[in-house]
Amino acid sequence: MTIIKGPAAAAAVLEALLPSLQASLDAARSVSDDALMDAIEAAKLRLRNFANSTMAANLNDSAEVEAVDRIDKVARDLHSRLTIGQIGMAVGAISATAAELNALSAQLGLLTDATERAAKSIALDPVKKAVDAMTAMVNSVKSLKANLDAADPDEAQVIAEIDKLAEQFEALRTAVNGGG
Amino acid sequence: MRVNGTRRILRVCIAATSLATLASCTSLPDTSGYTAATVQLSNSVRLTGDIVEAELERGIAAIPDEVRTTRLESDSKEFSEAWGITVKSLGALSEYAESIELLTTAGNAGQANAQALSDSVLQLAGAAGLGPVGAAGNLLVETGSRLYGEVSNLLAARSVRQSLEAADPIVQLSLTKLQQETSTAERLFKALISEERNGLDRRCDAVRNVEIRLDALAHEVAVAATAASSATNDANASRLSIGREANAPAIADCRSAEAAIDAREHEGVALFVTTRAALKAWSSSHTKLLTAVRERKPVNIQSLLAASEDVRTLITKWRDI
Repeated sequence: MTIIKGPAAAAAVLEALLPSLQASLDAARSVSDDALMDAIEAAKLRLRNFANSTMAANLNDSAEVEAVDRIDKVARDLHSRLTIGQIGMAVGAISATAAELNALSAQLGLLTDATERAAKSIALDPVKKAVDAMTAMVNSVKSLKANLDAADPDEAQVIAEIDKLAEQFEALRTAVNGGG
Repeated sequence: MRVNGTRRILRVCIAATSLATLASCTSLPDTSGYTAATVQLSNSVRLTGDIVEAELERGIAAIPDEVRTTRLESDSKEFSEAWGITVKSLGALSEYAESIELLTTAGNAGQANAQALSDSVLQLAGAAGLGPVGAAGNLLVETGSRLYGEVSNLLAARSVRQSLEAADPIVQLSLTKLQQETSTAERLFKALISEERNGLDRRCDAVRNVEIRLDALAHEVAVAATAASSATNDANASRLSIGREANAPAIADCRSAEAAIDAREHEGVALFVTTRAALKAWSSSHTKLLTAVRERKPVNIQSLLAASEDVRTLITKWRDI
């Protein structure tokens, strides 16, 4: 890295650098967003290298040191502004692609649901659930019948068994419809 | 009558067993490795988002107030939301992979599933007071289960194939978009890292200037040493030493900050590169899975598993930084 000594030399180099950076960014802009991002990154590196190459000819001269610092600040601030531009560009692109991914996920979700239903059907889940629900219902009906046939039926027990039967019927209905 | 009935059952059983033998299929491919790799990939993409989020915070902090714009804050928020959606899409891919695994498992476990159903039916028969089914009934149940084992295999193979074929264009497009997201995120990551370096240069410029002045002074002192008295030389050496000691903590701080940025850049870029490779492997593995199911051959997803392992290693490394 060549050392640029003194504010006058630093200003001259920066003045020559800026149009060159502008030209490279303009060329990349017409190619693609990715090319522009890369061109901005390259421009930032040139700016950083410039700022790191400058120094006062006399480091003991605080006025000269400050003058060089001011020129460096122009380059460093431009670096930061370019970064801000990159952040905006990248976040915009990521958001747009995320929206496309969201739509694709919804499509894939439908296929996943269909595949899961097919898996459950092949695993005989709905039929097994329906049969189990029917078995539970038969047992409940038997229990209810036994209670009603008793000499002194327990009313609370009968109500509870009827409630249970209703629940089991609902479970059967859901199982037959392929739910649960 | 009962003897005739038993014979009929036996004939049905023999016919069914023969049919089962004819239809005998190979096992459906084991897709559990594919599902595990998908989950790993999802973790990796989530982590790349976390990394960019952290660098966004650091990178924005490195920008001086007078240059900073109010939009930067909403950009950060927008990134987090968008990356959340990106990760969610990988969740959808994971759920899809799990559903394929569910299907192949159901196809391979047909006989056991049929047996479980038969047990349920026998319980229902018992509850309804239909009595025990007897040896012939048991034979029928066993034969039916075996036959279903083969049928379910065929059904599952058809369903897996249909599902993979229908999903393939969506999966391939999703993966292209995910690769695009990862590439953009990597560019953003690099942009932020370079901004952090720029910020560090702003902070360390003065300190480095002092170091340059001290070096220059040391050179001057060395040149003059031959001509100067021993007392003057000692005094100069002492002044230099005091100067270097005073500047040392600031220099060390700058170097350590620089090393930390270098380390994060190195591991971060490696994770992006590996994640993109894993996405590519995932994409080609889906196609391989489809081919394996079509040709009823075992599926080879070694490259995906290897990529997934690389991702796992890098995730661990990153968390150690």
